[in-house]
Amino acid sequence: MLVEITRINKDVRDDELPTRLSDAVEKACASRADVKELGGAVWTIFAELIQNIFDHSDTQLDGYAALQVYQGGNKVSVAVSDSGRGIMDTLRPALRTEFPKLADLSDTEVLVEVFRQGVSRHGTDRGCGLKGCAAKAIKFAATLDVRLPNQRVLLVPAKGIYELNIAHCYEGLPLLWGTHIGFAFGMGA
Amino acid sequence: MNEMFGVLSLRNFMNRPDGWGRSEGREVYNRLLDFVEGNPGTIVFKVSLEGVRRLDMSFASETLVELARRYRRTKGFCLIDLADKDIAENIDAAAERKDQPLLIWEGKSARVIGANLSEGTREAFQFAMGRPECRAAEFATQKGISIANASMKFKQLWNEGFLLRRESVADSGGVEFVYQRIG
Repeated sequence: MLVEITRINKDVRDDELPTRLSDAVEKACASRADVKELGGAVWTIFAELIQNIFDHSDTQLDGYAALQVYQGGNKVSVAVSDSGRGIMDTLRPALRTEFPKLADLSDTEVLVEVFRQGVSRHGTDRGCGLKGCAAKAIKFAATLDVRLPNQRVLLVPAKGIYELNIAHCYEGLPLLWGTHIGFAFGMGA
Repeated sequence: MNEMFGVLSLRNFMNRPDGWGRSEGREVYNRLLDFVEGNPGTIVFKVSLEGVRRLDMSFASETLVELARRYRRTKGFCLIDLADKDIAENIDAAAERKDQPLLIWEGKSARVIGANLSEGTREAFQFAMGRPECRAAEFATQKGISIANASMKFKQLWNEGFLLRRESVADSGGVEFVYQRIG
């Protein structure tokens, strides 16, 4: 089993970090026929999620990127976490003007749309990052886990998409500030 | 550089083989912009992805897609030397967000990413892609439709960024548009 946990210092971006992490996945899963595609997906997910810490978290506290490859390379988990402004905290104020149809939805419903259609506080021509991450992860039947301050939303792909009706919500959890997003690639035995 | 066509090697404008994030993309965009502005006679830029190892959606959005969108209808940008499926997928996702079509050329064939052709313009586009340039009247004759109808289709394709066009003098002495494929 391979486990990597890396601190993300907001003052100095380590330009090679997504490459080191995706290289580690490719090495651990070298026997898979789709290893290049897997490496590309992992690189893109880390690149987009880590960059979001720099662009949106608005905190001086360090963030973390974590990677776990299970024995045999049949399961890969990637996660990026920060203790800054949560994803809903940054998105909610902009919904009324940028995505009015989403403004009255619940947090879980908005989250599904963030990964399904792409939503950004900067307008409709932005927001391709998280949507693109989801599209890559879905190819590997990855579950998507997002921790909100008091809630956890677990999305399971069906028919190539994350849907609201198969979102598992866990309410009343201990308070945890920040943005925490994880993908678990289940790649068959 | 050929007056009308030019090759732009993206890697030469990047600091390293990976393109990561919007802020890095904006730096590279400014360099690309200088290059394009420095070659005013070039209408079509073939952007080579050779030597680019990785490229995320945010970087693609701020560079290639933004460039194509800025010059839509006046200059064209297409992609060459792009064998990496993952990079193509990321550019596609970024281009789709901005509704900006881009052509990926592989040898003599090309495919569109970033935007979908409407059913009504698909055949006209395929006709235009089969030759370096064409007039609406040629397509109208082949399809047996009116020139006005064909002109409308080509105008839409030009407007949406699928084709370029230039003015020419028609046999009648009036102005007609010559439509050009991008690449």
